[in-house]
Amino acid sequence: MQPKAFGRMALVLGCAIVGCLSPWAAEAPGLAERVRTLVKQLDDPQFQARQQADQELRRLGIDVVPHLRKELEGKHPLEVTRRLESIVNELSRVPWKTDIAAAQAEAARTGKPLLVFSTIGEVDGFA
Amino acid sequence: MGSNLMRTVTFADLEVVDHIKKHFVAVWHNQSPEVYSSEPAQQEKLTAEQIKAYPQGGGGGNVRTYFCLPDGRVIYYLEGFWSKDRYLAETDFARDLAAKVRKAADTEGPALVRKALEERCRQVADERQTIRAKHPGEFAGRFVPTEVRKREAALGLLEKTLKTSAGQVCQAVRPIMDKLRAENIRQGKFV
Repeated sequence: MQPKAFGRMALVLGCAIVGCLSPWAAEAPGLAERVRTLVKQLDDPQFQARQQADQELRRLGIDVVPHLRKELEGKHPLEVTRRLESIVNELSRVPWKTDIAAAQAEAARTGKPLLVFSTIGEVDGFA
Repeated sequence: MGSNLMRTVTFADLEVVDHIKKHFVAVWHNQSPEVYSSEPAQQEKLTAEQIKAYPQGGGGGNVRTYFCLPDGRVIYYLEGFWSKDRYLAETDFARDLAAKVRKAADTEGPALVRKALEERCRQVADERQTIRAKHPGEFAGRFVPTEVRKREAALGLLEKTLKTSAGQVCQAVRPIMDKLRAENIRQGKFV
């Protein structure tokens, strides 16, 4: 093998290995399949089943967001689309508080430090 | 634009969102609610080139992150827009610092924070020096916004914000926010 080609291959392989080792690259095995199943369940005739699927997707957390965004590119009944949008919206946004006192109360309860972001306008932009 | 970029780039990144959710209680403070209301508005769509061209650390005092202990005392102030990697690095620094302060005695807290900020400032200054030493040709003559110069300039802004932090160590964040808002009104900013 030519040295240049070997070098490029080693670089690509190295990047692939590093990518796999990155904590963000790791996804629970079977997640994609689980998400597909739950998205189908969002269209179940029984409300209870739809609710369960909705709650389970939220419980699975932020890892499902890329999968749900892909699902949103396809066609779904209106309720399914609304639910998908709602779940993605909740999971992919920082849960900003606007009341510092309330935030301090939660911080005292959880032991977490505060991150106060101060800027012009509100979370979704400014009128 | 720095504010817009924080909304649409940094805080839209899933890794940043996940990190903040796990490790912080997050507060959004509007510096000028009298002028900018809570009605959602259309955000200007930025091109990839615009995003790339905007300087790290840009936006000045219109874009501020205060890291505080659970009781609201400031331990670190970060000014400006920062993209994911740098923002995550700074949140990690703040989180570690908060953990150290919580373990220390009350009276030791401020000194511990100041020392940590000074040390970080030194690290950043060293990083700048390393860049200058590695690329002396880039720093001879007038400023041209190459990637090297932009990186060094960003570290300069980070160094500046670290020094500003020292003046706010262990101050309560709420009066700082109230004072900022009052100052904006007094100056007639954003009216």
